[in-house]
Amino acid sequence: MTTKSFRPAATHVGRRRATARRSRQAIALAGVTLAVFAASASACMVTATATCASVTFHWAPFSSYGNGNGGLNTPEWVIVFKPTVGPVTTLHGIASFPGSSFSLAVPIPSGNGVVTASSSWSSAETRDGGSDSGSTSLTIADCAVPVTPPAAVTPARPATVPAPVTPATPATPTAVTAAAAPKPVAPPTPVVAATLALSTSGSSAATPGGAIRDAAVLTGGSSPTGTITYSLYSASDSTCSGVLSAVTVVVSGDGTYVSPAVTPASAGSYQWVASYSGDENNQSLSGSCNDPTEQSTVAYPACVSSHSALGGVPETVRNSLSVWVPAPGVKSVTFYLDGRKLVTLAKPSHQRFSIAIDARKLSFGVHRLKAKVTMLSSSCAREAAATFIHVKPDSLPPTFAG
Amino acid sequence: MWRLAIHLARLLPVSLGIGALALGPAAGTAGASGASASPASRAMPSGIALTAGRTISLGNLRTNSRWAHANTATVVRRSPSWRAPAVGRLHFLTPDGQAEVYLALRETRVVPTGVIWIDVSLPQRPNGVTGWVPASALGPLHFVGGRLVISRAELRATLYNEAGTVIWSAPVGIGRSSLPTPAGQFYVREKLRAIGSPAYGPYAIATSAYASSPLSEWPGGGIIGIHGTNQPQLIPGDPSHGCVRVRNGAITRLWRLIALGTPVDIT
Repeated sequence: MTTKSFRPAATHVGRRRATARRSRQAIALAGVTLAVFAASASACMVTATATCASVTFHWAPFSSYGNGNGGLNTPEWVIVFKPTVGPVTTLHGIASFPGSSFSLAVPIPSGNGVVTASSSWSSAETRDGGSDSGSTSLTIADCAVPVTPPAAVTPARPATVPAPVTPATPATPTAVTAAAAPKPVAPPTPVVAATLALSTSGSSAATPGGAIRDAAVLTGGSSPTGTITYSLYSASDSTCSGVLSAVTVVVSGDGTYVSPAVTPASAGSYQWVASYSGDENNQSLSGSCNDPTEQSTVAYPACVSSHSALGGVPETVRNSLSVWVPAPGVKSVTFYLDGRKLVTLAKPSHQRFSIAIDARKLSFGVHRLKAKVTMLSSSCAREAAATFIHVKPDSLPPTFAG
Repeated sequence: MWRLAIHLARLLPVSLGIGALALGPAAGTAGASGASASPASRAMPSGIALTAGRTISLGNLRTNSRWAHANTATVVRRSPSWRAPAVGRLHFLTPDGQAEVYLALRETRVVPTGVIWIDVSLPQRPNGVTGWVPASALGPLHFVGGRLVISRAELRATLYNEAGTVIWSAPVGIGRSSLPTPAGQFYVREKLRAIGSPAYGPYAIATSAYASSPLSEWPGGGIIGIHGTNQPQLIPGDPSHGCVRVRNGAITRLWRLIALGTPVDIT
């Protein structure tokens, strides 16, 4: 007779990835009808919806293979956007958790293409010690980047264009467009044909480390070269006079360009201004300050509760237990038992923050442990929880029928 | 979430309502209650097609079985739905103060909530009750191989390992005709060192079975145990109140060999 932990991989046959089902879905957004394919990995309950600026993945909690304490997996997602035109963009995201939301919205560059979200679980994230991965895809159509009307024509009525127009060179009008709510502006000055356009959108979801990015789409150019500079300002900087950070990417043709990740020093609201340097064939362009589509919020997400972060908790306890949290990256740990604070530890011992609990002083039955973990980065607060059942000694007269 | 896909894929040839004796590990399904195993699809309002839950076996109760402790004292329901009638409640402790054990029979996922439900065997009267709880109400599932078969006709108990090999066998004493040992599919829910009670011998093993009629004089309400004895001369025979008595040397070996959650077939 043997007893061992349940490992599906070892006891069952036939691992295979779910086949995504696709159903056509129409979404109306800001006056634009987006025809998208909502992808649903049927078995794993992952669905996706998209606008021209973001894609949102929804999934069902999979508690059976969570952290063993009723917790749920919250894996990091890797989102790859392959636009019809332009370079591939790879983004990372992680859902805020715990909470009621089992979804993750990730900003993507505007344009048509295919978005694929992938995720994986390491063996440390699951209570059964298994690991797995999977992905689901979403095709975005009818999200073509707006192109400035060509031609030296003047609209018969005041035009509405999607975003503020801030030509870098006033004498040479160009348009900067974005997928935001339209704003009325004066009729544009006649422009030359094949106008270069710059569409931008700042990421609104921070990664676990608080990194944010901007994205810009160059269209209508004549084999543009040069650079795009992404400048980060505080959202309250109404004149964009105090640049906090500036990063640059090299331009090689029309396409989507995502900035390198920028990690602000603190959580808060920020805004981006993207500028194209121009070259001998293309004019320089710049976005505008206070562009609503260029806002980024750094709200450091609550970190994932993880059973594995709270070690030494057996399922059943007769006498005592020693509970610990791994020390690397941790500033301090506060332990709670049944909601009552036990102690806060600021100094680890042997790479662990550990406490000993004399269970004999506890009532028989279930008890709940929790550890609030403050990270050294001071930007991420973790919580780990676990339960144990305090049982009587097994040396006692039984209550059997006899 | 991806794991569910794996589970569904691996268990396409699901069969239900068939005794464990007739099935192999891949297709076996235990338990008496019958939930639909047929896959179904329906269109959600959003236009996204979702696959309805499919019930899969967690063991064949012969060579592989799974059990868990309770994680929350949740209500056990007749079917995998929050609205289904209650058939019991999970408990953390047995009447002897040990961690209660629940044999996990099957699991299914309910859409669109995505909640995983597990069908468990309940150690309560009447015998044979099963019910569904959310998977989050249970702790980790533990694997156990083998089973114990107690033949009332032959007055003999036999322990098989996960390969189906006999690893222990001994004559037993069972309940007298007025207090018969109940027949059915049960499991081991606790193992005790029976100190201070010579009538039980050195060791005692509690099963999920209960005596056919309530025994008010027993604090546990008539739990059927397997234990030693201070009257070995009555074995084999039918001297007990329903418990299965084993000579002390035999119970000592059995206690060391048998694991929590091991299925117990009383025939």
